[in-house]
Amino acid sequence: MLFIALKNLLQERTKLFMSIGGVAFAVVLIILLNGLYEGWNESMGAYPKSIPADLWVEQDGVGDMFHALSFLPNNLSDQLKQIDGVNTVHPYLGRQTLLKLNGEDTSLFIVAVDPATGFGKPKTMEDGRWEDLKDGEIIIDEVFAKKQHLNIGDEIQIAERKLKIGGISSGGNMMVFQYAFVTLNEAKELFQLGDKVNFYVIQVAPQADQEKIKNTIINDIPGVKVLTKQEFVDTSRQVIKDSFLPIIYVLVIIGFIIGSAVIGVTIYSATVEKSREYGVLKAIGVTHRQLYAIVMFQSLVSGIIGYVVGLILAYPVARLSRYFVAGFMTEFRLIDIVWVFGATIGMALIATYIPVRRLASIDPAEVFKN
Amino acid sequence: MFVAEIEHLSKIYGSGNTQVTAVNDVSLNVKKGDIMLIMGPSGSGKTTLITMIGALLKASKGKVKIHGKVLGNLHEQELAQLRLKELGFIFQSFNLLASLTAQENTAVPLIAAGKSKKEAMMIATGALQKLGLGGRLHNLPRDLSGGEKQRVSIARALVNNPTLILADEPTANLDSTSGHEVMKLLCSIACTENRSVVIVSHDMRLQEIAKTVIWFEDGQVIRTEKGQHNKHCEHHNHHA
Repeated sequence: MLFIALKNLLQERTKLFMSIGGVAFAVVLIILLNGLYEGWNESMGAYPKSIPADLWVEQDGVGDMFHALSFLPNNLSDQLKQIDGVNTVHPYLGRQTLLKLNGEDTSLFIVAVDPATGFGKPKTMEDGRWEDLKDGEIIIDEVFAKKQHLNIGDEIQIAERKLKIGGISSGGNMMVFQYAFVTLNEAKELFQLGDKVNFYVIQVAPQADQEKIKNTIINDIPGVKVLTKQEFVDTSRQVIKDSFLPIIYVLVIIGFIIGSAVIGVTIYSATVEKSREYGVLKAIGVTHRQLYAIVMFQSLVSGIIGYVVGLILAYPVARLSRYFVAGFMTEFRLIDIVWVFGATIGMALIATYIPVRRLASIDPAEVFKN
Repeated sequence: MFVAEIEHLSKIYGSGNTQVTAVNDVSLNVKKGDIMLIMGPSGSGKTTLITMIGALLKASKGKVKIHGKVLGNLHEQELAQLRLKELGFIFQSFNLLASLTAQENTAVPLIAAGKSKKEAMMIATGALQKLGLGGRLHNLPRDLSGGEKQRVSIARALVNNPTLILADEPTANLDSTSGHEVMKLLCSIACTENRSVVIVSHDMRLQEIAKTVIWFEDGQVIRTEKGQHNKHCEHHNHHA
């Protein structure tokens, strides 16, 4: 009986296009929102992930880099180096800094780069070289550069210091702010940390027991907290999970409802228009199950075509959005494409609930009324 | 054994002061090969009666038996099966599916009964060719004349080889030539294929093909007459 569904769909082309358009819109919305979340999530963890660290040592009670400042004494470095299994210890200086640009307040998360070792360097350089970074210069992220219309050679003022842009990096977008990089000396001047650093980054020896070193630090040095690389990356990402994920969930649900409603309305109106024909089918002996299959098949076909159209549109829409909005970073994963397909099938099936009820209520005896 | 037995059948709508008795204590038997014409004024209950015989409406009292099966005892699913396999419906307004071709419309009951689309289309082609519509197989209803639509509707009614055909005003929307063609077809269905046909109509011409004429008024049978079938039938050789 499914050929009747196909014939009905092809006969009602306007309705079919409306239905496909509605689903495609919902699919684009869901895929983009999800892609945005994944993109942000990836972006938030990208820079900490690029730092060659096995363990991060921070002031106890700080949590992550962004919500509170960690201060650790300079001389802790020697104490850490003496722990069995510790290979290298690097001080890490980084903190969020407010600045005024074009009359507006903005912020950067400024990180110190050790020119000698390259420790703390940007994840990727888009323009210029981090090796050429000098005191009085700053490397900014491409998202910040685009947002503020800045280029290499331009100057920005942070606190009392004027810094010349010496390079453009990427992979340091934190949505509400971006990473920027200065030399170690410049950072010390800017942050006025005196004999303090923010974090220590430890690389352990190849055969060393990371967990044992972690516990030794916690037990031997009071007032510090130790995180593995993954834990540190996760805490960096936590900020987006806490603030954006619930919003994105709500928007995805809205997309789902829009998709279901559009298919539902078009399938329902098609069912109402064809009630007499469905009555005829009932009268000649077509079962309820066969009729429901017709309606569900129509809905599924609309849903699947809409999904494919949405999928095809999602990527160019994301690229276009990125062109206009620098922070529109999306990441499309196969698993998300699969679950959005499942959600589309869900939309299509939910959309048939009211039309199926309508079908059930059609009285086949009505076909004798002229 | 009768194809259809109607025993003390009544249909009452509403209750109290608004109660209306559409069919009142009707008893009839339809024999194999019979052409029974039920005639009466509008609102006399003819359509309600044929709807109950067609297993589409439950009786308030009495019973309808099709091949001995009491319709009131059957579940919805069994009634659907009975309508699909034992009954054929011909409607005044044809009731063809607008998006399907003549061939597909005819194939619908076969596919609903479980035949493959390919087989159903083959059988439907044969049925339409028999009714002179071999050249209109792929036409949509909107491209067919009234007479052609009714012939497609007849093909659809016959395609599952039902034993009882129920026709509601089958000539009402047709011009005189098409009406005559349909009458001849109904006569042929009974006489050459030995199926039973129950027709509800105002069209007096149908008396020419009827074997039995039932006059119906106020939900009751007021008179039963012999039709003029033998005088006009073109299928004498096939008479049982």
